Amino acid sequence: MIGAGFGGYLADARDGDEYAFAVLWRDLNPALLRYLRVVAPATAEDTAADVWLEVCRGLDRFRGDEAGFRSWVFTVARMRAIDAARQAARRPVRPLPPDQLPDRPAADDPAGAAVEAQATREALALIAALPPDQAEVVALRVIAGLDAAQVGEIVGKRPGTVRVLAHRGLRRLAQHLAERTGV
Amino acid sequence: MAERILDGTVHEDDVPPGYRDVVRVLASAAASPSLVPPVEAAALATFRSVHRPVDAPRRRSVLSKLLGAKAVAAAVLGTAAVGTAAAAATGTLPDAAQAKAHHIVAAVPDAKPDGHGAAAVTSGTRSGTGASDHPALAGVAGLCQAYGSGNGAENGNRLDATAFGRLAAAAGGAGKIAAYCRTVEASASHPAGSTAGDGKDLPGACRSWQAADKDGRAPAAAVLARLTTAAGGADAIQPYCAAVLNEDNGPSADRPSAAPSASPRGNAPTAPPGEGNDQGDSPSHPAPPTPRG
Repeated sequence: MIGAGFGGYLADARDGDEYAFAVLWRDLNPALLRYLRVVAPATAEDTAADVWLEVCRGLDRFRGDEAGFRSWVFTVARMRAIDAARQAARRPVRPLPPDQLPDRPAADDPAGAAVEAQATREALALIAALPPDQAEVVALRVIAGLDAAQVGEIVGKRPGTVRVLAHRGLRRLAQHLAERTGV
Repeated sequence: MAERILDGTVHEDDVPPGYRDVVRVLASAAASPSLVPPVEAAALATFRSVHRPVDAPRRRSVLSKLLGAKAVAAAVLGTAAVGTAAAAATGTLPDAAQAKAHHIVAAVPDAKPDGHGAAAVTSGTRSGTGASDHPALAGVAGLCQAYGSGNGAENGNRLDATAFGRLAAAAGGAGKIAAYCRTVEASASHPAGSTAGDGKDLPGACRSWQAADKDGRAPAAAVLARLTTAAGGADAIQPYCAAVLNEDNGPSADRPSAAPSASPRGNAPTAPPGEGNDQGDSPSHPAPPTPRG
């Protein structure tokens, strides 16, 4: 989250200020990519580029605060992810092998970052393995950092339903992890 | 309890045993893996291609054409082309555009010498610790300069422990030094900053560009943008500046540079693009990437 300065950055980005846009991008893009890796793993990077293109185009029309901005970006992301899934169903794409996934650490990354990226990748894969409706709300709650009401608006469900889905997702995760360590 | 786990506000020791691994997994999912900087170049190119400044010339520069079309394509096709998006973007952009993209990315985290971006920083998140709160601004500015000069390799390279400590104390933490220094430098250059964007001090901008070019540094983003517009393209800057400075040779040599961007402070060395890959460490703190110490 950017915090108190958000409004200034947003206004500057609307005026075409690249620095301000970079601030917004840096703040949100990591979470956006992680969310997309849960809901559209095969096309996360491409979809993120589409999302930012749409965000750039809609920046002038957007009105709201930082929470609203996050909600908007993830709403766009969800729609683009659904489009990407439809396209993939029509025309299967060849999947990239895991070691060529774009979050592979850059060459100058310290080893710690590699471990961190690996843990993140595994965590995202675990969430992605949940039933799609659970995976989606867990990803939006945990990765996008949105509350149940915001998630409800994005996925078109009531906050109560979002909570139920998320809780089921957590239970399932716990079961899965227990089975894995128990074996 | 489940809501607090989802919010990430509960420690793994405080949840039922069966949920400890869940808390760990969710924490990992919420943590940022590092990102490769050329992806940012592509994102900025996308932004530039669809979001021209209101007061910018309608004619698109050669630079924005190159970066716009090619980098959007690179961003979209990036992963499909095999390997990292970084490799794709690097391979897809023409050499000149790629070089400029690196310049731009390197310059972006820098203070905006025209005071525009800096104003947002000052009026926004940094207002509480703004430079004006500190009477010893001049001393701090000097420290910041010293700090910036060590930026290329390791932050604070040339600062001794005492000076670094003072700077960290003024900034409110070692991790906040870079952002703090941007604010200080922006404040220091603000009085002249209001006229920097009107393009009148093209000789100053040219000198700044040449100095940066000579040292292999990235010129400040505003300088690059202004000169690209004035010269009619990024590739035309060099001959354009040669002509401008030739005309402007006499009186301006003694004149204090009107553009803050022409001062050494205005385009203090920024981290090379290769080091800008640790964003996400502190999402609430939009400082430029600083190498891990």
